[in-house]
Amino acid sequence: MNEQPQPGAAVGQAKKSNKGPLIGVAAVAIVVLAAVGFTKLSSKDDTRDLDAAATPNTNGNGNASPAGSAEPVASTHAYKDGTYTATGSYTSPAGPETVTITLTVKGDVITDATGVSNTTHPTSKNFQGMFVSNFAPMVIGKDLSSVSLTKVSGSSLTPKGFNDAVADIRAEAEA
Amino acid sequence: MASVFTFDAIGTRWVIDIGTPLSPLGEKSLLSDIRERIDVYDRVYSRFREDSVVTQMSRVPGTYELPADSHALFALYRKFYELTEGKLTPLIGDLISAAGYDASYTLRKRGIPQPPLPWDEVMSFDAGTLTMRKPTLIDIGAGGKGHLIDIIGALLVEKGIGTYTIDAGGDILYRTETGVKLRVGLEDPRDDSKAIGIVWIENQSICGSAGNRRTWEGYHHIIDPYALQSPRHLVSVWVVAESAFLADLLSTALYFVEPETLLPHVSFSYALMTAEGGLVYSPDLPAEIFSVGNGPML
Repeated sequence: MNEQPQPGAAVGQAKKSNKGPLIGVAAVAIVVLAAVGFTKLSSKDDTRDLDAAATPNTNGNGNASPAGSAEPVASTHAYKDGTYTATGSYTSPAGPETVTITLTVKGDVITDATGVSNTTHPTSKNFQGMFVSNFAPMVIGKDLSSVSLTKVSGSSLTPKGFNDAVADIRAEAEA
Repeated sequence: MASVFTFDAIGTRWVIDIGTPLSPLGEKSLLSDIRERIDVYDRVYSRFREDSVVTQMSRVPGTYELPADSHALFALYRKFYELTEGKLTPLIGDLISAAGYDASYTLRKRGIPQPPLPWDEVMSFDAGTLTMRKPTLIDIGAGGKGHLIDIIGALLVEKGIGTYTIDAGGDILYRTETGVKLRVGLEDPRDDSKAIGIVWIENQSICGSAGNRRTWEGYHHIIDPYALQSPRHLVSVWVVAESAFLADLLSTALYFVEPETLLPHVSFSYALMTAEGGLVYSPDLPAEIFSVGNGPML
């Protein structure tokens, strides 16, 4: 059974729209949050009732309304910096599920999104993980020479022995 | 800074910047002390050395007296072992070797990879004494480098050097009395000529863990001992913490558990790059991230 959910596709559409992150991502957030069946967000810093523009549309397959059919509520609002948490419930093919989502908004960009998976079903867990990671800003690489840096942190340079072994294996494979 | 030492040790490139001016003799003596201290550590804990205590313990059961630095090493490893429900374990050596990353860099699966046994079944550690009941290969790759960086840092402080940077293969400890922050680029795991952001640190460590370099046959340097696979949902993890040991262990732990599992117990900030290329990071990370749509969005 293909459980690739509509919300995933909706997020994809938001990313391709090339609009500012908050409009795109928040529109998706609203659509997806609506799809998971809740309509209120409460902030730790500020109470803000945010009614989802789209009617929840969870059929048995857990599909959400396509992004295009949702009113982009965010277009006339700036989001106050803060942390917003909500718990939603929805019905997946595996049964009723809940997910708790926390979004951190800073300077009108969602800087962090965490999902606490309340499910034990492995496929639902994967979906919730995907859903959460799709909110993170997509990073781009800038040439090191163009950025003023003192040091670089990444994976450790591999030991010579490791590199030699990789080279040997490659040579064998090509022989 | 006044002096820079560059050398290879424990399988990676070290660059140490010293902020205190030293005489040529002083430099030579300090470098020698640093390299000797690293070698002492390596001779105990390296699974790549035939002559190490770790290699001996993997072959012969018994009681072993480990040096004083073992106290902090095993204490913090135990804490993370419990916080990750055993996914971060020092007993991962046999599994990593069976997968191919063995002492001779075979890089081919040997035999059938098995999950490691529970810590308490294999060994006990108490105040420097390790009792190895079922000989198992210990691998401290998840935190050993950070632990050693802190040890070298303490050595420098002991010698009156209050401002220094220790960079061991991209895991960095920066101490200063000057109030100047260190700008550290976050290396793009997709392209090492690029950075995806900058972090500023001061009297902190930043450690990064990515699956792009040490990879072979579908594995990278971190293997989940229960799934018997390398995690694929994250491609790079960076942690800023008070010590390099903490930051190093955390940068592995975050492949296994979410930050929220660890934050109640340890103070740190983080950035996680997902396989899709998104970055999830803590609000208190002192960073500028290069992302699509950064800046004013209307």
